[in-house]
Amino acid sequence: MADIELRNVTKTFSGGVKAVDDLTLEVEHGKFVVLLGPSGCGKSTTLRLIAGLEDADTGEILIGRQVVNHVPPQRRDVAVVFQSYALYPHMTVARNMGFGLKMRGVPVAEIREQVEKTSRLLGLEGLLDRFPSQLSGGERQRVALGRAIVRKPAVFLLDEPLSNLDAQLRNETRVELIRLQRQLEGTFVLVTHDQIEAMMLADVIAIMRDGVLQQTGSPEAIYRRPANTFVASFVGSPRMNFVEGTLILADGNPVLKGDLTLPIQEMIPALEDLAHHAPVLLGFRPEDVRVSSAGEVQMKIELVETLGSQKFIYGTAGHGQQLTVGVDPNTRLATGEVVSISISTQKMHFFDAKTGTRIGGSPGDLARDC
Amino acid sequence: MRQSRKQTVLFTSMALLAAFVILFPFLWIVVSSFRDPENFLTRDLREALPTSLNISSYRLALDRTALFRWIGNSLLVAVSTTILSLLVSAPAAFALSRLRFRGKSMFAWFSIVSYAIPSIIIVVPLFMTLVRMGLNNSYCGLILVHATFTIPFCTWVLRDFYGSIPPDLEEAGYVDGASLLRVLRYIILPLSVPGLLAAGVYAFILSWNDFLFALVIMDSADKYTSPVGVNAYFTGTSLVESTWAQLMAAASIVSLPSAILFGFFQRYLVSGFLQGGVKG
Repeated sequence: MADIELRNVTKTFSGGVKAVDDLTLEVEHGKFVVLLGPSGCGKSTTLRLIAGLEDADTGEILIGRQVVNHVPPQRRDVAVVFQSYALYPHMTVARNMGFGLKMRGVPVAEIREQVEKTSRLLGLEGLLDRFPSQLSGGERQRVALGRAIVRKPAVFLLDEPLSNLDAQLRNETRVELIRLQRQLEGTFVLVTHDQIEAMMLADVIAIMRDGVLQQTGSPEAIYRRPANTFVASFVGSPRMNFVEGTLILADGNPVLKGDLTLPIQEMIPALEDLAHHAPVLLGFRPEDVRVSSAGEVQMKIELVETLGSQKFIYGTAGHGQQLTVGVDPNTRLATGEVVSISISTQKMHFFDAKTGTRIGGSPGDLARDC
Repeated sequence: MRQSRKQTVLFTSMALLAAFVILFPFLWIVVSSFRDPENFLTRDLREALPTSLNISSYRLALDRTALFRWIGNSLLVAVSTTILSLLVSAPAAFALSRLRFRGKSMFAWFSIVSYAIPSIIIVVPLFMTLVRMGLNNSYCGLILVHATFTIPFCTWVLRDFYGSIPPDLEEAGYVDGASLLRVLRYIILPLSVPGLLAAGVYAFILSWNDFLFALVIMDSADKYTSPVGVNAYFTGTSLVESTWAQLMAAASIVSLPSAILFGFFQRYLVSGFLQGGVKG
């Protein structure tokens, strides 16, 4: 089993599209790493670079501390689960699963034994003689996983493996994936654009945008301490609220003065530099706001979204500032109603309004949270 | 979108009319071949349709001509042309479909342009070339000439066919540890069977039906292909009433292999071999 390392890897496609831009990333042995980002952010290209299905223009790719830039996919000891599953349509499930072992010259009897063992692990015993066209979407997905698992590769690469499954099956398969990864103690790299999937599966999330790595860290760290406004708004549903303003001292108390006037906890050193002159973006998550009669902001409700265990209200405050607030699901609220809201000053995030980069370390209680 | 009843009737009628226009000459040849050879040239439609199966024309055609010999020659040329065409066009089409190399688009363009040139324009230059190579009046020469138009055609058909095979399957093969040759052997080739059959059948029929090149290249009667042989026999004979019926019988026999192969071709054309391997 091996670690993966990408050192300053760049990949540009014909037409000058830079799919991966100076990417440096380390994947520790036995970790479940999720490459997260919107469509076209370079996450699938990164996976294909690791698999050897694309060649890097510059930089080094290491698997198990060996530079593999010029090693073809056949000899990289990786397995890929494709988004389309890419099952060989003319082969039965058993032959699909055993193909990798056959190509490696494993004796037929051993192939059969390994395929049967893996099929039991994935509940595919009754399907070994079927062809892919005779399987449901979920079964095909499990066969694709089985084909990857059966030859015990150093690294498992999964390219949006759950995107073709319905919501219920996707949830079940996520749990199944975590169980498999722990059982196999393998290094998994999964690509997805679904932040919920990433939060649930990952030991480490690497979030990308336009080929550039934005942040790596545990799901908790990414959520609690996003490196920039892109990460802050991409992770979390509903997305984080942003209010632009300037930091001032009002009666000796630090305040964000903008479309809304909001008290903040303290003027941390990083913020003091910006005070009075540079605009900042204040970010806070919907669940860090509460409806309270003593709230400092008046918000007019435009939509109430009830999700069973959660309820969110969408509305405007000040001069058209859009806000989303998480409320107790038992609270009775109606569209058109005006409510007072209070934002937890301890859960505020500050970003440079020009660059979008995080300012300072707040929320400061990250260490305690994680 | 659901079709209305009127639309269904209209489309079906149009399809039946088109099928009738295409099939009528062939059907007329077959029907006429069973008519009484002595009473062939009639204007009475009731007499034109045979009341019983009269196979005397077939007997006469087979007795008086070297039809089996010519069919054998045609088979030799058409089968060889088909094999040669597939051997050359299958890897060429794969390269054009999947690999990146300089001049790829130019090559693809040339292959279709060469197919678009009318045969009659190149028949004399081709004949002169064959004479210089000592390949005129030889099966090899005719096979090579047939290959000049079947190879571009097969390459074109197969290039599109390979394009329909998802690249993921190939990449899965590489990741599974297979080399390019093994990917071709275990993944691409089995999936290409319907395409190869379709291209092969077309190549066979093109070669089988060729009259012009075979007429120019083959001098000796024992090397005639069936269209040339049939033509030579009947143009060399005074066309009395009974020879017309023989001609129809000979034409029916010669058309038979093409018709059988077309049946197969249709079956493979609609084959859903690729379904299920990748998400639908």
